[in-house]
Amino acid sequence: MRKVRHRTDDMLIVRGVNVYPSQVEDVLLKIEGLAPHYQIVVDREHGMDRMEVRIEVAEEIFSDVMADMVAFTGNVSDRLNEVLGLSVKVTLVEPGTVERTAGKARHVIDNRSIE
Amino acid sequence: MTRLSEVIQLSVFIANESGRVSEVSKALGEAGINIRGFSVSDTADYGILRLIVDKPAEAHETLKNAGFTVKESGVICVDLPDQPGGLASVLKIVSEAGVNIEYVYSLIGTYVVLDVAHLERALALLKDRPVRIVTQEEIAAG
Repeated sequence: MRKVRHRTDDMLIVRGVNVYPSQVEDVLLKIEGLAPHYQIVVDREHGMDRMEVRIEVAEEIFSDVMADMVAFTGNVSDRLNEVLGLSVKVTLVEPGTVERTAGKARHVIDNRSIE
Repeated sequence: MTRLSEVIQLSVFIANESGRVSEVSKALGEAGINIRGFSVSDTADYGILRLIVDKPAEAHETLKNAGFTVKESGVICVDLPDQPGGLASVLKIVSEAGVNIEYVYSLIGTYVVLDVAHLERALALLKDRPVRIVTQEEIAAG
């Protein structure tokens, strides 16, 4: 049996693909110097699911050169795409922006209504 | 510790929300810090505010305490001849010295900031050229 990695009740289904928040976390942790507060936001627009990962910008990932920042989000987006098999929008946000409950980040916001 | 001829720039990560730049400038103003120049680069989602101030260490602390992500880096500040072609003449000298500029913006008066790929090498290359490099002390003095 493979090591237990996920709780099935955390699983999201986005465009028919199973997504575990821990997969997103693994990708972010593998990027050097990055143990960020993040949040997955799923929306549905015109019947199509849209997944966004918001990452709080800590000093380790912040650069004064815009090209470096754009390359960083591109890199995260590519890696998430490889791991999840989904295109994901990566958005950088200010520290403290990700919603926290009792000090812990709330990792998933699913705005899709049941149709 | 500032190296000879290096000027400290503070870069601040700014979410694309109304009032964020205003909050940065308000925090600095309340802390008695004078902004000598700034520039903003932006994307659809966020921006990078770059600042040159009279007291960089205090400004860094102030902004950090206000919850902003701040980074310090060294840049070169040059005093331009105040005449038509002044900027062109300095940029020509910089280019001929083999210094590659990442970005440039103007400060108060005739000062411009150059961000270069290899700061110490760039300063060494410009050392004997006819450009006047401005020091951190001059920035502080105004």
